[in-house]
Amino acid sequence: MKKIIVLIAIFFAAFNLNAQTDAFSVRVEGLGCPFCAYGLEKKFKDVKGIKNLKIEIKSGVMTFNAPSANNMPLSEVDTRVSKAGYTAKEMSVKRANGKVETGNGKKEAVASKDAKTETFAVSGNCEMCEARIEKAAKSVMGVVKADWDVESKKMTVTFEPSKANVKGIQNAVAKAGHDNGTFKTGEKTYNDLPACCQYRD
Amino acid sequence: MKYIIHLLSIICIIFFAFASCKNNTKIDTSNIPKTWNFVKNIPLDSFGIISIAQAGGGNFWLSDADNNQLILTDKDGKVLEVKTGDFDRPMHLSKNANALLIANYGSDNLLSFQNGKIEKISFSEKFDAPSGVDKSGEKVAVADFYNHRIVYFDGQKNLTFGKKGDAAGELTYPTDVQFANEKIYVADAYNHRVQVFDLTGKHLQTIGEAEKMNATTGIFVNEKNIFATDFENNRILIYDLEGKLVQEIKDNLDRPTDVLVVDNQLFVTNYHGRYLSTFDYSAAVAGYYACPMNCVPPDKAAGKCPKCGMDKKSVKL
Repeated sequence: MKKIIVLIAIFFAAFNLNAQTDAFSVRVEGLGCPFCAYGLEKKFKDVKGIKNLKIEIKSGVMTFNAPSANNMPLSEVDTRVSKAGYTAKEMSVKRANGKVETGNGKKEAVASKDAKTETFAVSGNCEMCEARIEKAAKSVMGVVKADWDVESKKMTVTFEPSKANVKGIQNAVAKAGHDNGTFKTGEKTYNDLPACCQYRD
Repeated sequence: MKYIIHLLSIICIIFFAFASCKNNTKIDTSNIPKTWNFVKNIPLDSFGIISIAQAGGGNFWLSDADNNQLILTDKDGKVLEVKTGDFDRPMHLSKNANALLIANYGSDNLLSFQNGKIEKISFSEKFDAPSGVDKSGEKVAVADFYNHRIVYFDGQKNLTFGKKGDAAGELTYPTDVQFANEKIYVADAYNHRVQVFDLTGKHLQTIGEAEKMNATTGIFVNEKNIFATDFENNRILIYDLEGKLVQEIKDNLDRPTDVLVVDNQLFVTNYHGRYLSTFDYSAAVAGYYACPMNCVPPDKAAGKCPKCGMDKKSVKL
């Protein structure tokens, strides 16, 4: 009788372990069309035990559950997103035990205590603009963080003043195609932007 | 008696003037060039439609990638049948003889649907997300999305052409492919253009770069024109076979993914909008002026008729 009880207990323990899942959320940059969304889905299909995979194309947010027994690291999520041809922007996982882990797809430098944060206006229209603007700002050495908001058209940058300055960042953003308080993009670069990104009247 | 004759004469004059006037209001539009003009949107709210192909009897097959199924509709969008089965994100469709070909994106295979049966089409090449397929006689071409290439069976052997890149002949995430005019046309989606190859896979032509498309997800080619969907910009661009833009449709579209022309009617699947847009090929009368007496054919010049001197009127059908 004791053995049976132990066996039943082991069975339920194993069943419960299988039932426990980690809930992942990742925002993917550059996700536009259904071919992209279902391509991303395809690159996650072979994750053992994956469930509830959903992709919201407009926001670029993908969510899914994976068995907690897999202990799937965020770095694996990042690798799979890259294999699908996209960039993971913000990732998080709520583990079955309640612990929350967050990460950015690309490792970002940590701001020093001397780092400065500035905000300035940058012209643009859409999420493609957002990706281009932030990429241009981050390409400047010393920039730790760059966030452009589609609604307010404001850019917030955190940078090391010993290596970067606002004018240098604004210049890089203008060269990528986006007017800002100090610099204006050249006609040719502006005209080469995709039609949806052309913000001048 | 005199009065009666006068009265009758006046009545006759009024009658003939009215009759001739009525006759003259019929505007001759034969000299006005035809273009594609919006007819209506057909809502398909429950489906995430990607592609459209003829089904015979005036009906259409639509691929519903969101729900892993095919939808058979009549020309007014009435759903006649919902076909489920081995579909895993079915993308572009094409009709060949009596078979419907399906690029089964999520399962890396091609399916053929004929006489109520779904069969896998065997291919020795391995695909990574086949997004479009077309067949002409024995020849089969497949847009191999993640391998950035076209896999092509020329009737005797398998060939592949294209590799990742943006030079002429290179591809970045191709989504659709079609045989037409003894050539192979490719929707080079993320190079934002259409490329044309000969039947050996040699690059011949690049179309649409000047229009700055953003994700060219679907194409349809006939003996006169190339129709391309510009997904992110909500446009259909229509080119002649030389690659010259002949019309841009930019209204009534919401993330278009595929186009089909049947009997002078253009059908567009709108993935985000979840509807089918229809357009007909008709005289575009907007901007044309005609003499109310129909003395001269309508043209774009407003003002007075050079023959009768009457004020021209905007043409309305």
